[in-house]
Amino acid sequence: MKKSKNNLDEMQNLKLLQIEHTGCWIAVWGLLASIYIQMAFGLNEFKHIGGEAIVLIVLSVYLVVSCIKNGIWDRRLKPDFKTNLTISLTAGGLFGLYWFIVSYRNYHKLLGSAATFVVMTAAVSALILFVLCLCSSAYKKQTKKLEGEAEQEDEE
Amino acid sequence: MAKNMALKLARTKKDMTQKDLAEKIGVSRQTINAIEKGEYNPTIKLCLKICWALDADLNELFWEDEHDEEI
Repeated sequence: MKKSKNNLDEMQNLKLLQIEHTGCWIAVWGLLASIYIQMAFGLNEFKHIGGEAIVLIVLSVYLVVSCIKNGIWDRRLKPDFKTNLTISLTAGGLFGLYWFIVSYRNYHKLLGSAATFVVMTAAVSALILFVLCLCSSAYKKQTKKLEGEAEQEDEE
Repeated sequence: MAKNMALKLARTKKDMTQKDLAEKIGVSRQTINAIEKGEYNPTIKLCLKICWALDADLNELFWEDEHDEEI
């Protein structure tokens, strides 16, 4: 099939990319918020949050794989252990806090809820740290490969 | 980014409106307007198209001294 002509010039293309970029992040945070709100109302089952979760996972995997493939990490954050640890502890802490509130609301036991907080924070932080370290290692490997290819082309 | 007065001047010297220039090189009028206002930094390909359309060279229309750069 013949590809239709692009009606936009380079500035309009750039603007459209910026609009799509903002739309993409609205979708990511909106889906996450939607999942959390449903879970807060006790709708934890797959039939309630499955659709949003699948879209969020597909979107996230696409973003991560595409970025790594192109040797891109983040605009501001560095792919080192210290940064990964800070991010995973923050995300794990927020997740733990959420489950602390849910647990306290359901059972009214402070000690039990605190234990839930600690366990959830530790487990989620460890999981995120593992995934981040895996991704940053893949990123570094890919960057090396891309730089090697560029060097080879330059020599030719 | 500073306003591109050189481009505006070269265009008016050729007795062309923003619309005329935009049509000649196949972009929108708002793109030419944004370049003249210094709101959009065009690619080298578009810079060349503008230069060819206005019979000018890159230095004339797009050169900036280092201290003029406001990034």
